Amino acid sequence: MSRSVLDMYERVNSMMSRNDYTPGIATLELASLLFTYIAGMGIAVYKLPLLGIPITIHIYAAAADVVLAIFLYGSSTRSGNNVLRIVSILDIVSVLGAAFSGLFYFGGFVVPIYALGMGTGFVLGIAFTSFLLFYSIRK
Amino acid sequence: MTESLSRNRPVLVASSVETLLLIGAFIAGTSTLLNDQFPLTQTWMGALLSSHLSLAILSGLGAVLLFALTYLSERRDLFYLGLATVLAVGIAAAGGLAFYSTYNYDFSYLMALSFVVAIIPASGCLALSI
Repeated sequence: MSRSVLDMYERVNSMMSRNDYTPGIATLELASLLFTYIAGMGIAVYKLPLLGIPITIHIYAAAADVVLAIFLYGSSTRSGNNVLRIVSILDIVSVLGAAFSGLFYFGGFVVPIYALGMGTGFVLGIAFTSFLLFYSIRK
Repeated sequence: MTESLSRNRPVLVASSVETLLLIGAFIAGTSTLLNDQFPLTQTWMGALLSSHLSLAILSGLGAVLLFALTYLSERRDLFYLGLATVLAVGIAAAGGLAFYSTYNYDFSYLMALSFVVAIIPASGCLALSI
């Protein structure tokens, strides 16, 4: 039992540490993006007010997205792989675009275009981050 | 350019097209969510919804194509990702159609969540077939 858990840990660890931990950080970023999305879509679909638990989860997860995107740039640069580096730059731009759009919306410009900006930046961020995850896992 | 041993051109093309279609369907979907009122009352609302439906149908067909190509690629990693994509897109489509007939927001939420579950393996197929 403990042997197989150790083996599983060893396998997962060796996979996540490739390319200077890019897969590991990309996994964290993907989880953070999912939290942002689940909370954000809940607010949009059910027309919830911008108070309480949903918006708080959304805002903190969005902040984590930006921070992790920058970490991802760091790890992909360190790994020396130029494809990873370029895609991580695109990821930062998408996530930052989404964040600023959202800040404008939250700050008072309650017009659909900024909400759309959030969504567009998010979906591009998910596409780029998934690409980074799977590309960095390849041998 | 050096030869890449993991290059699979059919899956690369299908997964790039599928990822673009899914992104388009998502943007059309969020525009519909933000601007439309259900039941529809204006022509432009119908146009917005139609754009989403068109891209969604193309995504569905693209997902089936992607699955077929990943099956034929004889690679386990691509096969699982293609399977995940087609299942998630199917659930999203079912959720969307159920929402449109019942106006129950839970189906709309299901559609949104399964969409994002679909785009992750679609981008993954792209990354693994380059």
